[in-house]
Amino acid sequence: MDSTLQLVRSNPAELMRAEASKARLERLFNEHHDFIWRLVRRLGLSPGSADDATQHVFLVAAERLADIKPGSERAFLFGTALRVARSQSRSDRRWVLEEDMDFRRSQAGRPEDLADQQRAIDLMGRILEGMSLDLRTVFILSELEGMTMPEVAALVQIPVGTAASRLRRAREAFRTAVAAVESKLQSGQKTS
Amino acid sequence: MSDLKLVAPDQPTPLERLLLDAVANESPSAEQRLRVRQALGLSAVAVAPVPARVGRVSAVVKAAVGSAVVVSAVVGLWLAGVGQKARPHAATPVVAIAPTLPPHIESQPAAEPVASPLPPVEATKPQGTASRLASRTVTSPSAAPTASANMNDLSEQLRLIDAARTAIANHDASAAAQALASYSSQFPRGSFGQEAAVLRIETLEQQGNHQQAAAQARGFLAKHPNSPHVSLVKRIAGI
Repeated sequence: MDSTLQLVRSNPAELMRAEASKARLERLFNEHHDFIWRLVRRLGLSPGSADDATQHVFLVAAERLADIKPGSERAFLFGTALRVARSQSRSDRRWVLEEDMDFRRSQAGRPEDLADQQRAIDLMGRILEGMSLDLRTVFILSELEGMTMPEVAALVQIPVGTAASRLRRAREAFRTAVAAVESKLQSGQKTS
Repeated sequence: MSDLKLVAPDQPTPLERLLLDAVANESPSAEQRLRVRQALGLSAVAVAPVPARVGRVSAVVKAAVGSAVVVSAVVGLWLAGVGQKARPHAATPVVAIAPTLPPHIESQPAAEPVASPLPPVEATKPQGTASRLASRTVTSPSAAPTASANMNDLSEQLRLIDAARTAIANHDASAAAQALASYSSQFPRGSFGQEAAVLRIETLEQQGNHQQAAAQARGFLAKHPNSPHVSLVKRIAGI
């Protein structure tokens, strides 16, 4: 006899619970996987480590699925991702700044453009890494994920005013860092 | 609401736009999505990624230049202009960009941890959780020798697992057993080890070998007490 059929007959309630859990896990993955990957990546993990960290976050969520209140899935994943990223980044090489990571070598319209993109990502990672975790988190959620201030405040569990203050400081840090890079580029051009 | 007004974005410079765009466009690979699905015990179906809500980024960028096309052009021109002017420097030692960052935003530890939305979870204990989850962790593709070889292996693994699953659905236990035997011999450390074990238990049940199915189910539960397949294994073996 088909074992699943046998099961439906013997314990239909348990089967329904299992199916509901699987469906919830499926939704959790579909709605939040890419967000969590981007978050841990922007928190400073290399692409490979971001892959591992994301998987880790979802395995923790799968184990604790019954403990996660409906509606707070994103908050659970976010909090777990922060802790996993913080733990993993200690041993991760994080953003790689090679000596040739310089925009002056780039030439638009050529295969090297891909490298330009990578350099931009690495440079942005370095700039984000220069911010404190508080500022970086708010900057990522607001500037890169497009969340509103109330949404950011709710997710990070801070007052809206605090979130806004952190975003202002994060933007200042970002602008200062980019201005320093631009200044470096300009001085390079003048001497060429 | 004054707080919200105070954080209204200013017009970004071309380099700021370039950096924001570069990071906003980064996303996990399809292989990564598949890997997590496997680890969670979800079916290996193609899933459309949920894109980032880049409304704010777009707002910042588009407010400055009017359209994404112009953004691309500006970025391209910026790169081209910088590249052409500075090409003579390519052979000379290049100064790393890192030291150009102002001292006041050098790397620093977080002054205060971001408020945790929930009580600490096991992920805060790297050793315990990591070792426990390790048995369910699918090997990172980035560690494989080549991505294409990895994908070929993955496709073949999926084919065998799907063949076993289909055979079980068709009540063809011998075909399922054959597919699972091929899987075990070809991929003794395959990414779908747990799925294969569950299907093997189900195959034994279909063959009427309840005793062996129950024994394998108990072994599975002892080895993987936190597997997403635990309830399914219990149901199949009736334990």
